Amino acid sequence: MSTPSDNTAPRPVSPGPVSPGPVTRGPVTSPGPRSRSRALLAIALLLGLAALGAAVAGCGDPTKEAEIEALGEEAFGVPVGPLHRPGQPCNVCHDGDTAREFAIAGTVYWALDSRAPAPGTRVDMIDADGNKQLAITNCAGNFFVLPEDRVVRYPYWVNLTAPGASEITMDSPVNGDGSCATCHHKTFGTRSTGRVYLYENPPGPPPSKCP
Amino acid sequence: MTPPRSLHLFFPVLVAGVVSAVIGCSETAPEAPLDLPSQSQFPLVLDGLERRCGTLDCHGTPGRNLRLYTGSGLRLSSEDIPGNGQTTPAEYDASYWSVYGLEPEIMNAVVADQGKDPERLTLIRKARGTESHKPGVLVQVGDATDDCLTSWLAGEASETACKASANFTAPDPGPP
Repeated sequence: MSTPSDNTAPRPVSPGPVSPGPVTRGPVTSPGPRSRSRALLAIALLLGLAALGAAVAGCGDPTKEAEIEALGEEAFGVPVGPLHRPGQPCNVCHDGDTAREFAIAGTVYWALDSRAPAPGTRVDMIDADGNKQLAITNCAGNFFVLPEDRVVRYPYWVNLTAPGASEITMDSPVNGDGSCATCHHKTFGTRSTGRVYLYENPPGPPPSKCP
Repeated sequence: MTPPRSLHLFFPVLVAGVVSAVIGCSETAPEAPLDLPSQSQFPLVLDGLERRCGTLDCHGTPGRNLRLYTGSGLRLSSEDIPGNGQTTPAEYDASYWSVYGLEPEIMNAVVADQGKDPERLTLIRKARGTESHKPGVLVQVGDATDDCLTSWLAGEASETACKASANFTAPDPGPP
Protein backbone atom coordinates (compact mmCIF):
# COMPACT_ATOMS: atom_id res chain seq x y z
CA MET A 1 0.00 0.00 0.00
CA SER A 2 1.38 3.31 -0.98
CA THR A 3 1.78 6.10 1.42
CA PRO A 4 2.65 9.75 0.97
CA SER A 5 6.16 8.91 2.02
CA ASP A 6 6.44 6.88 -1.16
CA ASN A 7 6.87 10.12 -3.02
CA THR A 8 10.30 10.46 -1.57
CA ALA A 9 11.38 6.99 -2.68
CA PRO A 10 14.19 6.97 -5.24
CA ARG A 11 12.87 6.79 -8.76
CA PRO A 12 14.49 5.11 -11.75
CA VAL A 13 16.81 7.48 -13.50
CA SER A 14 16.74 7.82 -17.21
CA PRO A 15 20.14 7.12 -18.68
CA GLY A 16 19.79 10.15 -20.92
CA PRO A 17 21.29 10.66 -24.31
CA VAL A 18 24.56 9.11 -23.34
CA SER A 19 22.93 5.73 -23.30
CA PRO A 20 20.37 5.45 -26.09
CA GLY A 21 19.44 1.94 -25.12
CA PRO A 22 16.01 0.97 -23.86
CA VAL A 23 15.02 2.44 -20.59
CA THR A 24 13.45 0.16 -18.16
CA ARG A 25 11.25 1.50 -15.46
CA GLY A 26 10.36 -0.42 -12.44
CA PRO A 27 6.76 -1.09 -11.48
CA VAL A 28 4.94 2.05 -10.39
CA THR A 29 4.35 1.53 -6.81
CA SER A 30 3.79 5.25 -6.02
CA PRO A 31 0.86 7.38 -7.38
CA GLY A 32 2.84 10.49 -6.42
CA PRO A 33 3.43 12.07 -9.82
CA ARG A 34 -0.10 11.30 -10.97
CA SER A 35 -1.75 12.71 -7.86
CA ARG A 36 0.48 15.76 -8.12
CA SER A 37 -0.60 16.39 -11.67
CA ARG A 38 -4.23 15.89 -10.65
CA ALA A 39 -3.78 18.45 -7.93
CA LEU A 40 -2.22 20.85 -10.40
CA LEU A 41 -5.09 20.25 -12.81
CA ALA A 42 -7.60 20.92 -10.05
CA ILE A 43 -5.83 24.14 -9.10
CA ALA A 44 -5.73 25.20 -12.74
CA LEU A 45 -9.44 24.50 -13.08
CA LEU A 46 -10.21 26.47 -9.94
CA LEU A 47 -8.11 29.36 -11.14
CA GLY A 48 -9.83 29.21 -14.53
CA LEU A 49 -13.26 29.26 -12.90
CA ALA A 50 -12.24 32.14 -10.68
CA ALA A 51 -10.95 34.06 -13.69
CA LEU A 52 -14.19 33.35 -15.56
CA GLY A 53 -16.24 34.50 -12.58
CA ALA A 54 -14.20 37.67 -12.29
CA ALA A 55 -14.60 38.30 -16.01
CA VAL A 56 -18.36 37.83 -15.82
CA ALA A 57 -18.61 40.05 -12.76
CA GLY A 58 -16.43 42.62 -14.43
CA CYS A 59 -18.76 42.81 -17.43
CA GLY A 60 -21.32 44.83 -15.50
CA ASP A 61 -22.31 48.36 -16.40
CA PRO A 62 -19.83 50.63 -14.61
CA THR A 63 -22.02 53.69 -15.19
CA LYS A 64 -24.98 52.00 -13.56
CA GLU A 65 -22.83 50.72 -10.73
CA ALA A 66 -21.59 54.25 -10.13
CA GLU A 67 -25.19 55.55 -10.16
CA ILE A 68 -26.19 52.97 -7.56
CA GLU A 69 -23.12 53.73 -5.47
CA ALA A 70 -23.95 57.44 -5.57
CA LEU A 71 -27.36 56.78 -4.01
CA GLY A 72 -25.66 55.86 -0.76
CA GLU A 73 -26.70 53.59 2.05
CA GLU A 74 -30.22 52.99 3.29
CA ALA A 75 -31.51 55.55 5.76
CA PHE A 76 -31.17 54.42 9.36
CA GLY A 77 -34.29 52.71 10.63
CA VAL A 78 -36.03 52.46 7.25
CA PRO A 79 -36.15 48.90 5.98
CA VAL A 80 -35.91 48.12 2.28
CA GLY A 81 -39.44 48.32 0.92
CA PRO A 82 -42.07 50.73 -0.37
CA LEU A 83 -41.13 53.44 2.10
CA HIS A 84 -37.40 53.51 1.47
CA ARG A 85 -35.29 56.00 -0.42
CA PRO A 86 -37.90 58.70 -1.15
CA GLY A 87 -36.86 61.22 -3.76
CA GLN A 88 -34.29 58.95 -5.39
CA PRO A 89 -34.45 57.81 -9.03
CA CYS A 90 -36.23 54.50 -8.32
CA ASN A 91 -35.55 52.79 -11.62
CA VAL A 92 -31.79 52.96 -11.24
CA CYS A 93 -32.16 49.88 -9.04
CA HIS A 94 -35.72 48.84 -9.83
CA ASP A 95 -34.79 47.56 -13.27
CA GLY A 96 -35.67 43.89 -12.77
CA ASP A 97 -32.02 43.06 -12.28
CA THR A 98 -30.83 44.79 -9.12
CA ALA A 99 -34.35 44.99 -7.66
CA ARG A 100 -37.95 44.39 -8.69
CA GLU A 101 -38.75 46.31 -11.84
CA PHE A 102 -40.88 49.44 -11.70
CA ALA A 103 -42.41 50.95 -14.81
CA ILE A 104 -43.13 54.33 -13.25
CA ALA A 105 -42.14 55.50 -9.79
CA GLY A 106 -41.46 58.63 -7.81
CA THR A 107 -42.02 60.69 -4.71
CA VAL A 108 -44.28 63.65 -4.07
CA TYR A 109 -43.34 66.21 -1.41
CA TRP A 110 -45.63 68.46 0.52
CA ALA A 111 -44.07 71.79 -0.40
CA LEU A 112 -41.27 73.44 -2.30
CA ASP A 113 -38.01 73.09 -0.38
CA SER A 114 -39.63 70.70 2.05
CA ARG A 115 -38.60 67.20 2.88
CA ALA A 116 -42.03 66.35 4.23
CA PRO A 117 -43.82 63.83 2.01
CA ALA A 118 -47.32 64.27 0.62
CA PRO A 119 -49.10 61.00 1.40
CA GLY A 120 -52.43 60.21 -0.21
CA THR A 121 -51.76 62.28 -3.31
CA ARG A 122 -53.47 61.12 -6.49
CA VAL A 123 -51.02 60.67 -9.35
CA ASP A 124 -53.09 60.55 -12.52
CA MET A 125 -51.37 59.71 -15.77
CA ILE A 126 -52.80 59.83 -19.27
CA ASP A 127 -51.13 59.02 -22.57
CA ALA A 128 -51.69 60.36 -26.09
CA ASP A 129 -54.25 57.60 -26.76
CA GLY A 130 -56.25 58.56 -23.68
CA ASN A 131 -55.22 55.54 -21.60
CA LYS A 132 -55.34 56.39 -17.92
CA GLN A 133 -53.34 55.20 -14.94
CA LEU A 134 -53.75 56.01 -11.27
CA ALA A 135 -51.31 55.69 -8.40
CA ILE A 136 -51.57 56.98 -4.83
CA THR A 137 -48.59 58.04 -2.77
CA ASN A 138 -47.88 56.16 0.43
CA CYS A 139 -46.92 57.66 3.76
CA ALA A 140 -43.36 58.27 2.54
CA GLY A 141 -44.71 60.13 -0.50
CA ASN A 142 -43.62 57.26 -2.75
CA PHE A 143 -45.70 55.70 -5.50
CA PHE A 144 -44.89 53.08 -8.10
CA VAL A 145 -46.48 51.24 -11.00
CA LEU A 146 -45.36 47.70 -11.78
CA PRO A 147 -44.79 46.72 -15.41
CA GLU A 148 -47.69 44.25 -15.35
CA ASP A 149 -50.03 47.00 -14.14
CA ARG A 150 -48.87 49.61 -16.58
CA VAL A 151 -51.51 50.95 -18.94
CA VAL A 152 -50.04 54.21 -20.23
CA ARG A 153 -47.26 54.31 -22.77
CA TYR A 154 -44.84 57.06 -23.71
CA PRO A 155 -45.46 59.92 -23.97
CA TYR A 156 -47.77 60.41 -20.99
CA TRP A 157 -48.74 63.40 -18.90
CA VAL A 158 -48.99 63.54 -15.11
CA ASN A 159 -51.48 65.34 -12.92
CA LEU A 160 -51.28 65.51 -9.12
CA THR A 161 -54.23 66.06 -6.84
CA ALA A 162 -53.70 66.73 -3.17
CA PRO A 163 -55.98 65.16 -0.60
CA GLY A 164 -57.51 68.60 -0.13
CA ALA A 165 -58.04 70.11 -3.53
CA SER A 166 -54.84 71.43 -5.00
CA GLU A 167 -54.18 70.14 -8.48
CA ILE A 168 -50.96 70.41 -10.44
CA THR A 169 -50.51 69.38 -14.06
CA MET A 170 -47.05 68.68 -15.38
CA ASP A 171 -46.15 71.00 -18.21
CA SER A 172 -44.09 68.56 -20.27
CA PRO A 173 -44.93 64.96 -21.07
CA VAL A 174 -42.84 62.06 -19.84
CA ASN A 175 -41.16 60.74 -22.96
CA GLY A 176 -38.84 57.97 -21.94
CA ASP A 177 -37.92 57.59 -18.26
CA GLY A 178 -40.32 56.34 -15.63
CA SER A 179 -38.27 57.59 -12.69
CA CYS A 180 -39.58 61.00 -11.68
CA ALA A 181 -36.30 61.85 -9.91
CA THR A 182 -34.31 61.54 -13.13
CA CYS A 183 -35.57 65.02 -13.98
CA HIS A 184 -36.93 66.02 -10.57
CA HIS A 185 -33.70 65.88 -8.63
CA LYS A 186 -33.54 67.22 -5.09
CA THR A 187 -31.63 70.27 -6.28
CA PHE A 188 -32.42 72.69 -9.07
CA GLY A 189 -30.05 72.85 -12.03
CA THR A 190 -29.80 72.98 -15.78
CA ARG A 191 -31.20 69.43 -15.94
CA SER A 192 -33.42 69.37 -12.88
CA THR A 193 -36.64 71.12 -12.05
CA GLY A 194 -36.32 70.24 -8.40
CA ARG A 195 -38.48 67.85 -6.39
CA VAL A 196 -42.10 67.13 -7.21
CA TYR A 197 -44.13 69.10 -4.70
CA LEU A 198 -47.75 70.01 -4.10
CA TYR A 199 -47.63 73.53 -2.70
CA GLU A 200 -45.48 76.57 -3.14
CA ASN A 201 -47.33 78.11 -0.22
CA PRO A 202 -48.71 75.23 1.81
CA PRO A 203 -52.08 75.76 3.47
CA GLY A 204 -50.91 74.18 6.68
CA PRO A 205 -48.47 71.73 8.21
CA PRO A 206 -47.75 68.57 6.26
CA PRO A 207 -49.72 65.44 7.05
CA SER A 208 -48.25 63.13 9.60
CA LYS A 209 -45.40 60.94 8.52
CA CYS A 210 -45.25 57.17 8.51
CA PRO A 211 -46.08 55.59 11.87
CA MET B 1 39.09 82.06 -59.19
CA THR B 2 35.89 80.17 -59.92
CA PRO B 3 33.24 79.77 -57.20
CA PRO B 4 32.71 76.28 -55.84
CA ARG B 5 30.25 74.12 -57.75
CA SER B 6 27.82 74.04 -54.86
CA LEU B 7 27.36 77.80 -55.17
CA HIS B 8 26.07 77.32 -58.68
CA LEU B 9 23.18 75.32 -57.26
CA PHE B 10 22.47 77.80 -54.48
CA PHE B 11 20.62 80.43 -56.49
CA PRO B 12 18.27 78.12 -58.39
CA VAL B 13 17.33 76.38 -55.13
CA LEU B 14 16.77 79.74 -53.43
CA VAL B 15 14.51 80.94 -56.23
CA ALA B 16 12.54 77.69 -56.23
CA GLY B 17 12.06 77.96 -52.45
CA VAL B 18 10.83 81.53 -52.59
CA VAL B 19 8.37 80.70 -55.37
CA SER B 20 7.06 77.70 -53.43
CA ALA B 21 6.63 79.79 -50.31
CA VAL B 22 4.70 82.46 -52.18
CA ILE B 23 2.40 79.91 -53.78
CA GLY B 24 1.92 78.10 -50.48
CA CYS B 25 0.93 81.29 -48.64
CA SER B 26 -1.42 82.63 -51.25
CA GLU B 27 -5.15 82.40 -50.65
CA THR B 28 -6.89 79.33 -51.93
CA ALA B 29 -9.87 79.69 -54.17
CA PRO B 30 -13.09 80.05 -52.14
CA GLU B 31 -15.07 76.85 -51.87
CA ALA B 32 -18.72 76.61 -52.75
CA PRO B 33 -20.92 77.47 -49.75
CA LEU B 34 -22.38 74.57 -47.80
CA ASP B 35 -26.06 73.83 -48.13
CA LEU B 36 -27.03 74.51 -44.55
CA PRO B 37 -30.62 74.28 -43.38
CA SER B 38 -32.08 77.64 -42.45
CA GLN B 39 -30.90 78.83 -39.05
CA SER B 40 -33.33 81.72 -38.99
CA GLN B 41 -36.28 79.32 -39.28
CA PHE B 42 -34.89 76.88 -36.74
CA PRO B 43 -36.68 78.39 -33.72
CA LEU B 44 -39.95 77.27 -35.29
CA VAL B 45 -38.56 73.75 -35.65
CA LEU B 46 -37.11 73.56 -32.14
CA ASP B 47 -40.37 74.78 -30.64
CA GLY B 48 -42.05 71.97 -32.55
CA LEU B 49 -39.62 69.42 -31.12
CA GLU B 50 -39.36 70.79 -27.59
CA ARG B 51 -42.03 68.74 -25.84
CA ARG B 52 -41.90 65.79 -28.19
CA CYS B 53 -38.15 65.16 -28.21
CA GLY B 54 -36.38 67.66 -25.97
CA THR B 55 -37.71 66.70 -22.54
CA LEU B 56 -35.22 66.09 -19.74
CA ASP B 57 -35.72 62.33 -19.94
CA CYS B 58 -34.94 62.21 -23.67
CA HIS B 59 -32.89 64.55 -25.83
CA GLY B 60 -32.73 67.17 -23.11
CA THR B 61 -29.81 65.21 -21.69
CA PRO B 62 -26.12 66.04 -22.08
CA GLY B 63 -25.26 62.43 -22.83
CA ARG B 64 -27.21 62.32 -26.08
CA ASN B 65 -25.78 62.78 -29.54
CA LEU B 66 -28.84 64.83 -30.41
CA ARG B 67 -28.92 67.33 -27.56
CA LEU B 68 -31.68 69.88 -27.49
CA TYR B 69 -31.62 72.96 -25.27
CA THR B 70 -35.05 74.38 -24.59
CA GLY B 71 -36.90 76.49 -22.06
CA SER B 72 -38.72 73.51 -20.58
CA GLY B 73 -35.86 71.04 -20.93
CA LEU B 74 -32.10 71.14 -20.68
CA ARG B 75 -30.79 74.66 -20.13
CA LEU B 76 -27.60 76.00 -21.59
CA SER B 77 -26.82 78.62 -18.98
CA SER B 78 -26.19 77.60 -15.40
CA GLU B 79 -28.34 80.60 -14.45
CA ASP B 80 -31.43 78.93 -15.88
CA ILE B 81 -33.50 75.96 -14.74
CA PRO B 82 -35.94 73.89 -16.79
CA GLY B 83 -39.39 75.39 -17.02
CA ASN B 84 -38.20 78.81 -15.94
CA GLY B 85 -38.46 81.09 -18.93
CA GLN B 86 -38.42 80.76 -22.68
CA THR B 87 -35.82 79.15 -24.89
CA THR B 88 -33.00 81.66 -25.26
CA PRO B 89 -31.31 82.69 -28.54
CA ALA B 90 -28.14 80.91 -27.37
CA GLU B 91 -30.18 77.75 -26.82
CA TYR B 92 -31.68 77.96 -30.30
CA ASP B 93 -28.16 78.32 -31.70
CA ALA B 94 -26.73 75.44 -29.68
CA SER B 95 -29.63 73.18 -30.61
CA TYR B 96 -29.32 74.13 -34.29
CA TRP B 97 -25.67 73.09 -34.36
CA SER B 98 -26.52 69.95 -32.41
CA VAL B 99 -29.10 68.93 -35.03
CA TYR B 100 -26.88 69.95 -37.94
CA GLY B 101 -23.78 68.40 -36.40
CA LEU B 102 -25.19 64.89 -36.21
CA GLU B 103 -24.63 64.12 -39.89
CA PRO B 104 -23.49 67.36 -41.53
CA GLU B 105 -22.56 65.96 -44.91
CA ILE B 106 -25.81 64.08 -45.26
CA MET B 107 -27.80 67.07 -44.11
CA ASN B 108 -26.00 69.24 -46.67
CA ALA B 109 -26.92 66.70 -49.33
CA VAL B 110 -30.56 66.54 -48.27
CA VAL B 111 -30.82 70.34 -48.16
CA ALA B 112 -29.09 70.59 -51.55
CA ASP B 113 -31.75 68.23 -52.91
CA GLN B 114 -34.52 70.47 -51.52
CA GLY B 115 -35.33 67.92 -48.82
CA LYS B 116 -35.69 64.96 -51.12
CA ASP B 117 -35.37 61.55 -49.42
CA PRO B 118 -35.01 62.90 -45.87
CA GLU B 119 -34.69 59.40 -44.44
CA ARG B 120 -31.06 59.58 -45.38
CA LEU B 121 -30.85 61.35 -42.02
CA THR B 122 -30.83 59.34 -38.81
CA LEU B 123 -32.85 62.17 -37.27
CA ILE B 124 -35.77 61.40 -39.57
CA ARG B 125 -35.40 57.63 -39.47
CA LYS B 126 -35.42 57.61 -35.66
CA ALA B 127 -38.39 59.93 -35.43
CA ARG B 128 -40.36 57.87 -37.94
CA GLY B 129 -39.33 54.66 -36.23
CA THR B 130 -37.72 53.17 -39.32
CA GLU B 131 -34.58 52.88 -37.21
CA SER B 132 -34.59 51.58 -33.63
CA HIS B 133 -35.63 54.34 -31.24
CA LYS B 134 -36.22 53.79 -27.52
CA PRO B 135 -39.61 55.48 -27.23
CA GLY B 136 -40.73 54.00 -30.55
CA VAL B 137 -42.42 55.78 -33.42
CA LEU B 138 -42.80 59.44 -32.55
CA VAL B 139 -43.94 60.89 -35.84
CA GLN B 140 -45.90 59.57 -38.79
CA VAL B 141 -45.09 60.56 -42.32
CA GLY B 142 -47.15 63.65 -43.03
CA ASP B 143 -48.10 64.56 -39.47
CA ALA B 144 -47.34 67.99 -38.04
CA THR B 145 -43.90 67.19 -36.62
CA ASP B 146 -42.84 65.33 -39.73
CA ASP B 147 -44.03 68.17 -41.96
CA CYS B 148 -42.25 70.69 -39.76
CA LEU B 149 -38.94 68.88 -40.05
CA THR B 150 -39.14 67.94 -43.72
CA SER B 151 -40.32 71.37 -44.83
CA TRP B 152 -37.37 72.92 -42.98
CA LEU B 153 -35.00 70.53 -44.75
CA ALA B 154 -36.67 71.43 -48.03
CA GLY B 155 -35.84 75.08 -47.46
CA GLU B 156 -39.00 76.65 -46.04
CA ALA B 157 -40.19 75.52 -42.61
CA SER B 158 -43.95 75.24 -42.47
CA GLU B 159 -45.08 77.60 -39.73
CA THR B 160 -48.46 75.91 -39.53
CA ALA B 161 -46.96 72.45 -39.09
CA CYS B 162 -44.33 73.56 -36.59
CA LYS B 163 -46.85 75.43 -34.45
CA ALA B 164 -49.18 72.43 -34.52
CA SER B 165 -46.26 70.22 -33.47
CA ALA B 166 -45.41 72.60 -30.64
CA ASN B 167 -48.94 72.32 -29.30
CA PHE B 168 -48.35 68.99 -27.59
CA THR B 169 -50.63 68.70 -24.60
CA ALA B 170 -52.41 65.97 -22.70
CA PRO B 171 -55.67 64.79 -24.16
CA ASP B 172 -58.87 65.65 -22.34
CA PRO B 173 -59.23 62.98 -19.67
CA GLY B 174 -62.99 63.13 -19.89
CA PRO B 175 -65.27 62.42 -16.96
CA PRO B 176 -63.56 60.88 -13.91
